[in-house]
Amino acid sequence: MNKKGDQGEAPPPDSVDGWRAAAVGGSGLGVFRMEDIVRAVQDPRLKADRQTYNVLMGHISRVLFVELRKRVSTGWKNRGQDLIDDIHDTLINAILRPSSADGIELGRRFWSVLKSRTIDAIRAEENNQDRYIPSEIAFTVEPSHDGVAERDQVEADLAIERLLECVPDSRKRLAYRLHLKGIPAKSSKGTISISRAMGVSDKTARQWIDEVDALIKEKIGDRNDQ
Amino acid sequence: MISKNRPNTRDEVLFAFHEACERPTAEQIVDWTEKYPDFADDIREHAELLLSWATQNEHLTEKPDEGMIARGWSRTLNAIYKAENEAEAAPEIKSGETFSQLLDSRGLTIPALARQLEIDRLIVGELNAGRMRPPIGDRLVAALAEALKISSKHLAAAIQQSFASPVIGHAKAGQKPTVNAQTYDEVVLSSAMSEEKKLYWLGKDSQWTPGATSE
Repeated sequence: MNKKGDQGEAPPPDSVDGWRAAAVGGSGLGVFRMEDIVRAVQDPRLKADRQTYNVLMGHISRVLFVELRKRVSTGWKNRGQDLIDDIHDTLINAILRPSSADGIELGRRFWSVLKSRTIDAIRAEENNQDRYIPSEIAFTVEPSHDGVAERDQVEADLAIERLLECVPDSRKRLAYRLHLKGIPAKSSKGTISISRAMGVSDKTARQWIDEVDALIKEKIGDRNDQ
Repeated sequence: MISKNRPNTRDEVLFAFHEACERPTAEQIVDWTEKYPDFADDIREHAELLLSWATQNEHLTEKPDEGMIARGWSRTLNAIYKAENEAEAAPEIKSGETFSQLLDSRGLTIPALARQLEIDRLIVGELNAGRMRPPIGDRLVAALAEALKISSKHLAAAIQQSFASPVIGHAKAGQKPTVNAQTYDEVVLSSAMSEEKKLYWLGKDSQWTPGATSE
């Protein structure tokens, strides 16, 4: 789904006729910005046309599920369904209360609120670590970030993702991601470094990268031994 | 000095970060964490998951099945039903109760309500005095309904009642007392609020929203 550009001119939020036509139109509601659709369902006048209101709410609900399914790992309990349901309900409830803080923000920057609330919910769930089971995938593939031709880069990227899921500390995961992008651990004048991005000393940054490296090697070793 | 519209709460900073950085770079992480040191850890946590999603979404296309979508719609219908019931179950107003009586019954004053809504007290004052001709703006209706825990329908009835029995201004010598009722738009435009606030309360696109950084 295109989230930023190439989107259609939406009817004004209070145009019942405009949204009725849009709801039955051949292009579907996907051509409109989500913010416009949210503002329309928050306008009390649209409720007068229940059918159109339901079509718009149905579209929002579907978009939320599709986008949340992409972002919530199947490693969570019940394949992440419980988490998806919770986030979906939180956002729908905010939309249904137009004067709530998130209700207002969803009408202004839908995707930012969706992503932010999803991350908050995942982080809260992470406090309950035993609920997460890293995916069984590709531990035998040595992670690579140097673009080697002999290995499928897609597989390598995903292998790294799965391996990083085993690192419980999100700060170390971020430090390692930056390391994979070629960012130096140490600060030097005028350059961006992992230590600066993470707000830690050069020594700590180096230590974190070494720790994650060691953990990944251990995981690969375990898999290869099986 | 805090510049106008600079985010200052955790949510505002993170929403702005997500708007600006779909796939955060090291430079952006440094920039944002140094600009908002109070929320640096949150920014890093969010950056980490954004980068993870960026990789996974390129290669994985996990999709919900139709059963899941149908269940989502069922949950949405329940939420709609619940929200509408809540609105209907909001404290009833007595028949013929004015907006002013509504405030009294909730122990609210005009300045307190105006502060809560972050709106010029003149607007609440005119509404209270019955000098604002209905209909009033949808955003104000929604905000008042939320603040007073009342349905939009009941709020509209109280506003209409106030308008029907306005507070009469002082009579000038030789003239009858008059009521100079204005439309909602006129009252908002004549208020001392910033242009962005006026746009917001007039229902237009605005950089300002309630809870945003003070001007």
